[in-house]
Amino acid sequence: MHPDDLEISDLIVDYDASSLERKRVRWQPVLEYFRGRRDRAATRIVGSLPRDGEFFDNDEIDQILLMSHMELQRLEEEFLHGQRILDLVRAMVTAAELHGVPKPFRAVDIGCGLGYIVRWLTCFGGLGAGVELVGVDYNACFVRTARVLAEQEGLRCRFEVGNAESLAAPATFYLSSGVLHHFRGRDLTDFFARQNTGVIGFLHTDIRPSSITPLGAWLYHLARMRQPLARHDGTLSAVRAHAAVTLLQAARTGCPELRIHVDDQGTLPIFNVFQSVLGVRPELEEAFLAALAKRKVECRL
Amino acid sequence: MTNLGLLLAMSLTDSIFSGYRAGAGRNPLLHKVDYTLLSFWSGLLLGLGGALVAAGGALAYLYWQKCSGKPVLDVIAILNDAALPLVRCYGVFATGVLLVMLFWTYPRRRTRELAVVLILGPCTLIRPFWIAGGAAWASLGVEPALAALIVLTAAVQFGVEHLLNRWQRRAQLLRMRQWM
Repeated sequence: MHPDDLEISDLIVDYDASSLERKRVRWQPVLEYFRGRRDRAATRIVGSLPRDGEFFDNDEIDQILLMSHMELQRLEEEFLHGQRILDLVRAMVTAAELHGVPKPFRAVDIGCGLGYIVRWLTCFGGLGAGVELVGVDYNACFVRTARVLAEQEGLRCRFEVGNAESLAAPATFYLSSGVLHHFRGRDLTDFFARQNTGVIGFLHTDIRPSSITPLGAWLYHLARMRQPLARHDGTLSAVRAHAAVTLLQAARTGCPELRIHVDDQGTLPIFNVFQSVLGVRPELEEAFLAALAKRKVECRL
Repeated sequence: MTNLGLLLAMSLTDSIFSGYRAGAGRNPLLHKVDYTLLSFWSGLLLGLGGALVAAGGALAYLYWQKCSGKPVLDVIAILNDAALPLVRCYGVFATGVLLVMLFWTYPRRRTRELAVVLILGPCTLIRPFWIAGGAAWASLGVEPALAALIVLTAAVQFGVEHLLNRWQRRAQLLRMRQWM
C-alpha cells in the first residue's frame, strides 16, 4: 500500500459536482485501477462487489458502506473519539463566548457518515442550546440513517445531504473526523482554503502517522472489521494519513487569515493514535488555546 | 471433575465474549446497553448449547467405554485428565486477557487506546489459533476416540461464534432495511 493509492470507497461512489446527484460507477475501470496498482486484496474485493450490468449496484454498495461505517463507529467508540472531539469543540465554544461571537454557534461536521460524532456531542456533550450541531455528507443513505438514529434517541441535531461549505445556514466553525487523508496535495490546500473566511475556525481530526501506525491499523482492522472493504480502506487510511507538517503547511497556505495549530500531545507515537489540525481566528487564539489546555487537564481520563 | 468444570466455565466465558464480538459494530445507536446485554446472553445461551453438544460427545464416549467393560468412574477420571491440558492452555490465555482488561481500566484515555489496539485486537486474532493449538496439544498421546472428542469440543467452540455472527448479521440487515 502506498500513500497515493486511492481507497476502494473513493472510487466506487461518485457524485455530480454541481447537483451532487449520485452517479452510477462502472466497475471495470475501478478493477483496472487496482490491478494496475498491483493491489491484489483491493482487486479481489472490487471483483466481489455487487454489480448491475457494467455498473456497480448502488443500493447494494450503500448497504456495504453502511455496514462498514457501523464497524467504523465501533472503532470510534473504542477510542473514546466523542470525548476527544468534545475537548476541541468546548474550547472553541468557550473562546467564541468570551469574544462575544453571536449565538447560536453552528458546528458543522464535514463528511459526517452516520453522524456518530454529532449524535454523541448532542447526547453527551452538554453544549447547551447555544450550539447547533449539523452533520453533512454527500451520501444520502448515510444522512437518512443518521436522521433515523437521532430520531430514535430523541437527539436535537440535524443532518443534511450536500456540501458543508454551501449550507443555507452558514457554519460558525467546521469539524471533521477521518476526512483529511482523503485529500492530497492541492486538494488538501483547497479543502482548508474553503474554510478561510466566514467562520471562527475549524477542528479537523485524523489518524496520526508514525512508523508503527500501518501495522497497528492492519492488526486492529483485521481484528475488529468484518467487511473486507472496511479492512482494506481502514488500513490504507493509516498509510495515507498526513504528517503534522503537511497538514500545517496546507492549512497555513489555504487559510492565511487563521492561526493554525496541530494538537498531538504525547511523547511516544504508540500512545497517540489521532492528531487534530486546529484553525482559529487570531483574536480567539489565546482564549482557545487556554481553554483547550484547561480542558485537557480537567479531562485527563 | 474439577478440570471438566473449569473447562466448562472457560467455554461459557469464551462464548459470552463471542456473543459480544458478534454483536459489536452492528448497532450504531448510542444507548445500547440492552443490545449489548442481549449479545452477551445470546453468547451464553449458544455456549450452553455447544456445551450440551460436547457433553453429548462425552456421554457417547462414556457409554462406549462402559460397554468395553470400564467402570464409569474410571472413564470420568480419564475425561477429567484429558481436560487438564486444555484447562492449562486456555487458562493461560484467559488470564492474559483478563490482565489486559485490567490494564484497559487504568483511567487514562491513551492507555485504553494502547490496550485496545496493541493487545486486545491481537488477542482476538490469535484466539482461534490458541483454541486449535490447545486442542492439538491435548490430543497428543491420547487414544483416537478421546482425541476426536477433544477436537469436537474445540470445533463446537468455533461453531458458537460462527452461528452468533450469522444471527447478528441477519438481525443487522433487518434493522438496516428499516432505515434504507
